[in-house]
Amino acid sequence: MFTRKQWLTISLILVCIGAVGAINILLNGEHVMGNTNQVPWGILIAGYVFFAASSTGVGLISSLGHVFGIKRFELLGKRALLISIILLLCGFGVLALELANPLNMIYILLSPNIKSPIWWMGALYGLYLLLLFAEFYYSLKEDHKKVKPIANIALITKLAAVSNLGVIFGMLHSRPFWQGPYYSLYMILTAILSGAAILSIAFYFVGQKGRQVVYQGENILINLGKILAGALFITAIFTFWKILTSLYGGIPGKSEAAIALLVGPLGLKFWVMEIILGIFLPLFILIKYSFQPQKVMFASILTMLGVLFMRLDFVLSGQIIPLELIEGLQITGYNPYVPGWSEWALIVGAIGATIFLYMLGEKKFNLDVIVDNHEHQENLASTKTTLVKVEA
Amino acid sequence: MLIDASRCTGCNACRIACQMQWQLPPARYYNRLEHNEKGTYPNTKWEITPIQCMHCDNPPCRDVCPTGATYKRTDGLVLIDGKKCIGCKYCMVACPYGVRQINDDGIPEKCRFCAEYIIEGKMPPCVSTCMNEVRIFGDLDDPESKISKLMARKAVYQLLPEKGTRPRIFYVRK
Repeated sequence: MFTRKQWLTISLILVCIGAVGAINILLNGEHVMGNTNQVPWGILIAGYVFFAASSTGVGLISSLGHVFGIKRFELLGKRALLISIILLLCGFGVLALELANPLNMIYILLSPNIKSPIWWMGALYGLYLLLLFAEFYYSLKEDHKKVKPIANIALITKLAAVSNLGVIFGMLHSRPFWQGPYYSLYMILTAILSGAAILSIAFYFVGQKGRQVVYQGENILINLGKILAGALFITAIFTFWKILTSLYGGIPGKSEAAIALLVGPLGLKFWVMEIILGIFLPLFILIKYSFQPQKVMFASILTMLGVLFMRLDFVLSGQIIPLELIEGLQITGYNPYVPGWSEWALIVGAIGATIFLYMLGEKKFNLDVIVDNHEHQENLASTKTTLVKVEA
Repeated sequence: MLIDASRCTGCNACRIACQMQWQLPPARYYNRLEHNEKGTYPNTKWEITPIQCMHCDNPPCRDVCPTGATYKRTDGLVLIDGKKCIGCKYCMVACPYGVRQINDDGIPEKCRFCAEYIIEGKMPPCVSTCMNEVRIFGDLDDPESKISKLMARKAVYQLLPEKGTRPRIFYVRK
């Protein structure tokens, strides 16, 4: 694998690519983006969902340790918090470039419309970011008395934030494929999916650097791999029923969107990237190799690639069908959408920024967690005693 | 507004009048004609339906706007305060009629019922330019207005009533 310097160089190259894309978007606005009046939300919205949901997922899995007290997950501790912060910041960065007038965000505070799910998204993710900073700060100071209550509030906030992310789409009666509570639950599930995958990738490399990733003789990647496999399996079931219920009965706007995913313009992305590369192949690798750490890492990379396209399919499937305003109106074709190179560059840059900022954080902060593990200490002590006896 | 689509010839003068009024580029428009082919060859005909912002009584574009940039005036007009718009385009996705168009400032614009024009007692250009009086514009709260009298005489319907938007544009049933 690459050295630290090589990783830094790669991530900086990605950041530079992203910066070029960002500058092009800032200078030329909507003209260099793939968005149209028929498909107003494109890859940058998908990118924001990708980063924000991943950040929440990382947070949800790390909650197993510092909220639910499952010792082995306490290993994730500070690193998970740092990753969560970085992912959310990258998500906000992508979103800011999607917004035409981000400076007007001040009106979210000055004239709030609490009926708007996007207002709640701003409020909840804003609060979540503050709580993440506070939790990370006190974790670095090892002030566990303060970390615990913050982590408890953060858990409720992140669940509210990520399910609200689904509500943004679910509230839209104009888009039958999105409308309903399904995507709220789907967001929580797929957040866990991407959270497990990102933590697996990160902790594989953390382990490679000789840091503690083993608890009671078991590598944390085995546990993360099992969570990942579970989430992949449930996502497959969710997707299956979503497609089937959408097809059933030929409901306008719903069935056409499902067909667009199965055999339409989204078909290639859906089958190859989302289903085969993103769900089945990682699931196969995880099970076939019995959650071996390196294989978990490979499966996680494939999963994250799949999740990126999953978010894009999700955002486009709701808008690809032209609105049927008049009864009997023949809908010919789909609403076209092709992302601009600047948008792809921005997504690539945000991924690079995630790697780069994490490596900076790893260097700047002491992220190791000493898991209080009496059993482990006893095991170590008894091993030493046995060794001493053998030597004697 | 009352629209008698059966009188529409499809000349697009309404669209051009609106574009001239608001100095819009050719690709941007606040009203459009939907063409629907009816029947089977050789017995076919075009059915034309003029579409623009419905100025709904329960507008989803207003409800989803995080900053309240889209608002409904007491006289029924749904308008946009461009200074508050963050450009999230949620209103565009929420509108079941697909009438919003992003402008060069990143603001999803739409028909304003020519708010500045009608206050002077003038008709919106899409109404006044039409040779066949397809559109009738007026005060539905005034029982003596032309539109109220026509509405009482004719069978009317709204587009997508199942979406619960309560649109303020009515169509004469064919």
